[in-house]
Amino acid sequence: MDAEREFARFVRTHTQTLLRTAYLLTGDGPAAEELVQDTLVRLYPKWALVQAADAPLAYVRRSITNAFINQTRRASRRELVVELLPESPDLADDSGRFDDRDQLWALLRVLPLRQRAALVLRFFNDLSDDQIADELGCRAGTVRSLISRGLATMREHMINEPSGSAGMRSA
Amino acid sequence: MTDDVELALRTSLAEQARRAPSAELLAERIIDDARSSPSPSELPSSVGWRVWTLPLLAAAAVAVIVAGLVAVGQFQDRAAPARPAGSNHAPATGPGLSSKTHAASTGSPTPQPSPSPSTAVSSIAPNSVGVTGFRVLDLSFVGANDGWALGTAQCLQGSGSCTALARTSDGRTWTSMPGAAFNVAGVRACADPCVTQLRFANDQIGYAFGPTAMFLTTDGGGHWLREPGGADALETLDNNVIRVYENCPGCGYHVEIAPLGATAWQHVALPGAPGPGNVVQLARTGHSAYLADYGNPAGGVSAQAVLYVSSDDGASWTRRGEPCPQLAASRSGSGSGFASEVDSTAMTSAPDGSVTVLCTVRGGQGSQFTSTASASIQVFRPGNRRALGAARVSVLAAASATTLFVSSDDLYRSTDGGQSFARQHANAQTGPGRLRWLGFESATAGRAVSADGRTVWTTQDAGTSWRAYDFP
Repeated sequence: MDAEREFARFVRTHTQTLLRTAYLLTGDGPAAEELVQDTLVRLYPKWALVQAADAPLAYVRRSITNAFINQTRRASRRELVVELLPESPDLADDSGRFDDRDQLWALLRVLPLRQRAALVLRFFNDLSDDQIADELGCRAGTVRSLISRGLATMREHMINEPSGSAGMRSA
Repeated sequence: MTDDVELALRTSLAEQARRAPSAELLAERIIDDARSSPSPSELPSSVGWRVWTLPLLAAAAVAVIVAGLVAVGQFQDRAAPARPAGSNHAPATGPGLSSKTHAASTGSPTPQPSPSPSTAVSSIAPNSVGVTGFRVLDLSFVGANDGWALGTAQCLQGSGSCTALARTSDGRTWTSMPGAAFNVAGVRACADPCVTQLRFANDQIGYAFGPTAMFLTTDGGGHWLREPGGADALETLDNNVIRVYENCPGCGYHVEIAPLGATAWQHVALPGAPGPGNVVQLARTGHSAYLADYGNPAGGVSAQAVLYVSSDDGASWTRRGEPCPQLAASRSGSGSGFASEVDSTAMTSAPDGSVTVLCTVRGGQGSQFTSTASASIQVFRPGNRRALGAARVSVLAAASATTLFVSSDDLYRSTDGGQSFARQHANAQTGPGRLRWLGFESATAGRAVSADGRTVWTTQDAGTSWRAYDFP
């Protein structure tokens, strides 16, 4: 019973935070809601174990991140993410290159899944390399590589493809 | 330049995050949805999902399960008289059930894994196990009369419940064993080390395990040594062990095999992309092993199950995908114009090598049916799609490809491979009703644990009649 109450309290307290991360990962509101709901409902039967974790919120976020990566890779019957740019980012306005944050947002959504997740965890959740490594189940060196490659790809597109639009394949 | 990109990305993410949907309604939806799942307190009682395929016991025809902890003598035997075959037609049906055939519902199941600790030896002192109030969470038998029961009992010192382990070697009395160095459901909130299931391979070697902890005994349960990691599922047969675990929720299940009693495990790859990773179930019979990786039957991104099959004791696996047939719209009756997705939500294997899955039509219609494949597992043949009702099924079991059982509000039995199910017992005095677990060691010999864990039932005639033993 305590676990049930704690679960409800956690959900009411942290769903918005988790939903924001999920939204940045999926780039889609309904998909983000589904990802968060799926993960929390799946964790509910073992909530006592979640509570016993050092940082329950990090534990749940890790589950969401992994679910996002694994489920998207499985090419779910439901469309979760757009693998190609839904719109061509307008990169022609060179003067406002870095001010056009929607352009970065569009580029982020076509990065490989793990790169995208690493960038979100770093630049939105402010996690360290070690914390991201823990969430993604890899080494800190791999995290640094993912972030470096993600940023390089974004930079390259912003500089070399002013017309934007190239779709990058998810990996 | 890099700083500019990083700063812009950080700002962009912060702005985009504010466009995320509001969580207010979603939070309440999640809480409501979760309440239809197994409650946290039910976590370790996953026995209903387990498949028990012990080696065939030729002499089991006279086997009798017993109850009674030796320390206080024998348990009360309120054995039910054998019911004549043919008396198993359905009497009155429960609310919401159709006449004689009934049964099932989704069994949105069990637990998830989590990072596994690795320790050398048991870290808590053995509990003082009382001899009263024993409630069985799991059973494991290695012969007609040689078995162990994992459960809870009143503590000898202080109040509350303690982990209890009991053994019977004559099929008539149970002896409490004080060396259980782990927690179970109902004991200390199942704090680490928490085990949920028990498997013995022979009279010496056995495993107690849960998603985050695993113990090995080599002296019949007298002492337990903690092994690294945990297991969401584990089965032992033919002197080898298969275990399935997940490093983190949603990360995908891993399979390892080891010789019986060994502490070194060999990783075995599962083909294809990771399965949904919601709940896993493992069944073995002969050299065959079946691993079902279930999705969330409520739907969503992690929906469809994957069945893996091994014919070499788990050394290699093939991927069979979702074993339940998908229904066309006209069959589902949804009227939506879309085909209905069907999820397998439970699996069992029988001593004849057949495999049966419980199929649940998604969408809250409560429509369920069984589907059975022979030992060669070439084709799953669905049973009558209207044979099962909407009640929540906690147990699926099979004595053979044709004799199937489901337990929800009562026990229901099919003798025609799932074409029809008959309610077995009007009340708990004459036979098992709501069960925690049911398994068959042969085509005729089976055992069941009542939902409250107080009663162990035994059948020697494929479920036609049952004998009950109550723990005091």
